[in-house]
Amino acid sequence: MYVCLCLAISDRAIRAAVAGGARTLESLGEVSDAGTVCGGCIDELERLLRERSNGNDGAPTTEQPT
Amino acid sequence: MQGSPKVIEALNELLTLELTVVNQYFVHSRMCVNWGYGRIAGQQRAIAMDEMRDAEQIIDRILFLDGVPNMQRLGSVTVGETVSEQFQIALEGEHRALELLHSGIGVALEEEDSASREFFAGRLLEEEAHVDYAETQLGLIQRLGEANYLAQQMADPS
Repeated sequence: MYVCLCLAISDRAIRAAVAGGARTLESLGEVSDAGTVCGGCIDELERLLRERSNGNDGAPTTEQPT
Repeated sequence: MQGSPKVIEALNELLTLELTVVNQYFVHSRMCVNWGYGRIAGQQRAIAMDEMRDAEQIIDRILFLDGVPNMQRLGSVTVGETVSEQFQIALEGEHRALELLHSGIGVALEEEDSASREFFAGRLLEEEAHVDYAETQLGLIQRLGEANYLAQQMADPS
């Protein structure tokens, strides 16, 4: 499914970026550009980051994109 | 009539969700038109209109309680790339709607606003019907296979 509609970025691309080491909204934005235009998808990006961190360190990030 | 700020906020949270799902159903409907699945497109369009009418009634209720309807706030709009994904997204939205209605009922009771409690409760049946619609379609896709299911959905869009 498309998560970032500004740049047509899918949840698969976000999950791949998270699996590749992105742990914050900022690093996710650097790697995939997701969430860097209107910011409307940030809630969903945070959910996808939490999905990963719940299985690891358990610390969701609330860092804002630059 | 001055309403409780907590009830107005609960109504605004519901309004945010309704406005979000209107967009989702609407774009999903147009994607189905583009793919040639006119039957689903017509059904999704009808639900988008139901949700729009819901938003209208919520706005009216907020204004009646002398609150300000928050038309600015929108949840994250996710868009399914396949029909199955569209129904999964719709199902999540409808489950969230039921949660907000139940919590709204609780807030209205605490604030002794029985009319707002009735307003929230009155929307449960429609949202449950939307949950049932999405669950039924996902069940059909699982049992028939996506291709067989979609073969039954080709029609002129209504």
